[in-house]
Amino acid sequence: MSMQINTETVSTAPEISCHLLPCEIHHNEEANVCKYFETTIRKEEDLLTGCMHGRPLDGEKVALPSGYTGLVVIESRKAATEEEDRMLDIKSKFNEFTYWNLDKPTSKEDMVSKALQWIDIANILHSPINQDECSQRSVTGK
Amino acid sequence: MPKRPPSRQSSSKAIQEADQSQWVFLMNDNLLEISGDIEEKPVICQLRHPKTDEGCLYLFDQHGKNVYEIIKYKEEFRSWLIGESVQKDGGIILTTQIDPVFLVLPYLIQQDKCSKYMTLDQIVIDDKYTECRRLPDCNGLNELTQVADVKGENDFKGYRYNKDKTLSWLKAKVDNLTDGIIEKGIQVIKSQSAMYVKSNKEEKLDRDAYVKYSYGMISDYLPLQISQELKTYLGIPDCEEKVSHNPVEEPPAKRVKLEDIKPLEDYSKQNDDKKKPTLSKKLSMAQKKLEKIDKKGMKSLSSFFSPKPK
Amino acid sequence: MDQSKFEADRTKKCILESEAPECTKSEPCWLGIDEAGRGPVLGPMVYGTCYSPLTSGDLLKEMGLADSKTLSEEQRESMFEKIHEASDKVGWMVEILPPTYISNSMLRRIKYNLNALSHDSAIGLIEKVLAKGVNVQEIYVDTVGDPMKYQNKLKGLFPNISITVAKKADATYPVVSGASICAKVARDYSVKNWIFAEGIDTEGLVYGSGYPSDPNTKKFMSSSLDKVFGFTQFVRFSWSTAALIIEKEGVQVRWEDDDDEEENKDAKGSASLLTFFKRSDDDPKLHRHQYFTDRCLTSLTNL
Repeated sequence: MSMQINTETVSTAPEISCHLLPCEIHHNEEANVCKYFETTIRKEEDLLTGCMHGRPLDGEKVALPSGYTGLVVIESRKAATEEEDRMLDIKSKFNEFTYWNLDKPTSKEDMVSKALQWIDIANILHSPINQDECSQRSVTGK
Repeated sequence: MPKRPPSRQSSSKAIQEADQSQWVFLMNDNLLEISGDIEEKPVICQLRHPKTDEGCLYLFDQHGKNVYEIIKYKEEFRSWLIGESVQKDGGIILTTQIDPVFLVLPYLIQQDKCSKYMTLDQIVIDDKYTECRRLPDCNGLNELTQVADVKGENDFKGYRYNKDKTLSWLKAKVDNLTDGIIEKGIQVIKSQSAMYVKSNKEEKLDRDAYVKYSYGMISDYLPLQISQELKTYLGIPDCEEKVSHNPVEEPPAKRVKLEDIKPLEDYSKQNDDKKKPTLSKKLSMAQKKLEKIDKKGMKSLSSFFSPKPK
Repeated sequence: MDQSKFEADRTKKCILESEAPECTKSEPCWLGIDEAGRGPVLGPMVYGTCYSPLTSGDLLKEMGLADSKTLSEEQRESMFEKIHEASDKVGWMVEILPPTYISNSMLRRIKYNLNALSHDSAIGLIEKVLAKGVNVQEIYVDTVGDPMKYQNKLKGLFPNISITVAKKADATYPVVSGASICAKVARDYSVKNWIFAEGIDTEGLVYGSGYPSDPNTKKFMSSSLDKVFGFTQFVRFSWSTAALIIEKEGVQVRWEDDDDEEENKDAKGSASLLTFFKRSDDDPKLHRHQYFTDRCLTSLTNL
């Protein structure tokens, strides 16, 4: 079983605004985001505040790590059998998103920020080792 | 692929999860470059995870030359608003390049038992995770010379696992990562007690602590045995390694039930019930004060009392 | 009443005020405080204050100031006109606390209850009037809670001012009646002129009194419910009436600070899914390193 990602539509995929909310909404459908959520957003200096179900939210706009594009990927048609390859399509894309905390100023210690840092760490962890350096180290190593 | 134990969750929830058909990815831009041949697309498939031995998702780029790890960030209470819609799953799927040597290493070690030189096509074979056939084409595998002895040329290169080379290569990996996490200021001391960390802020942490941490992270890509050998090689003391069931989510902070919050007075009802709400409010204010206290340090205490995760 | 300052952002609390008459800075004054719209689930709550020289007591009486609740809306408006006309003797100030501000306060992680919020608004008004240089000697406050405790609290804050906190003070002291009229007029005006940021057409819209028990209010709330986001910012989400409608008719929304046994059970269920690797304590090869678990990062076995 494998899944192909149909990336050729990426250039034409619409840019979309994304908010990562601090609550779980049991819904996977349309919603009046512009009218009911974006109208609650206020910006004072660099601080964003918003409101959901009467609760105060603190937000931060996050630019994606360079070299990365945000994609909303959909599987429009479920594969009929386990063996059949699945096909994923790009529905929309984004280069920044806003994450929101429930009544807590955003910080570098927020899970989202820390999680995105994985990209940098992964780069270090998985970059090839210079062979000379390696043999040299093994000579001097304990 | 590991089967989840029969869940106690309500079936409606299970159905909902299964029905998910939309995800948020952070895609490495290299994966989005359109090649001349539109038939070439990035492919997600299951490969054997070098540490867990279970099937996990990886992503091959459109040329089949690079392999990416798929890791998902997902907090419990998160959902996405995407344009004019909601996506219940508030996760972000991160795609980062993985050193393919990690994925080949378990197969190489496996082959070591017959101590013969073999070609990659012969080494990387898996009845369960057949997509591993894509691995030998990966660019990063010229690095295999750092974990194996090589014989022959071009298509007839034969490989044989070399433990000493591997350990030396892994040590270099650990060193690199150690430099990286120091530079990035990753906190390596268990934040068991926030205060402990604070009081230690001034003191520079011993490099050993970072080495141990890096070793731990890299071990997440290694079969258990080689990870043990690496530990010895690095001279990391084989301490008890407190089984850190890294406490599953903290018990959620309590909040006054919404139902309890009522207008203290409703003129339309005239003034009957004024005393009781005030009383309960006061109690809850006291509770709030308790909530104000930073509970971080108490985490271990509270998890001590909570039922053991099954 | 010109509320353009409030209307610029209907989510923020807002002070509207008259100039302080010169005589109130020299002569000893009394100051009344009352509130309007504490109970309703709709629209702002307004705290109001009115002040004038002690010697002008008769003037206020002659104006016919009375408990705002016994007056019709038109009567209140004409009273407010009179207060406005007497601007050489009488000063006023109101604070509008919109529903969003009230909900946000009450639903914060550290709850700020309505009583505390009310007291703070009243105290803030007194402080602001004093800051204008008004020579306040006596304060009269209408209360909904325990008068003695409130009175002691105020006495502690303003030790040099004589303070009287009483139930029905708005019917007893004309200066409190004045405050009550300012507050009520401000509330009525803001409700009447509410423009919905959510784009709801107010033409022919009936809210009723805004009290949860009013059938028209209930009807308005049910009919204006948004399944995902609940209500407009005209509604106090922190009122149980609002919360119950959302719970019954809206989409389920779970918060980290929810306190519901049923939901917590559910939460554990999904945690066991997420932390699949963490939980397999018995098998070390299924442990993920702390780096990953600390960041809610997991490998995926499938999409």
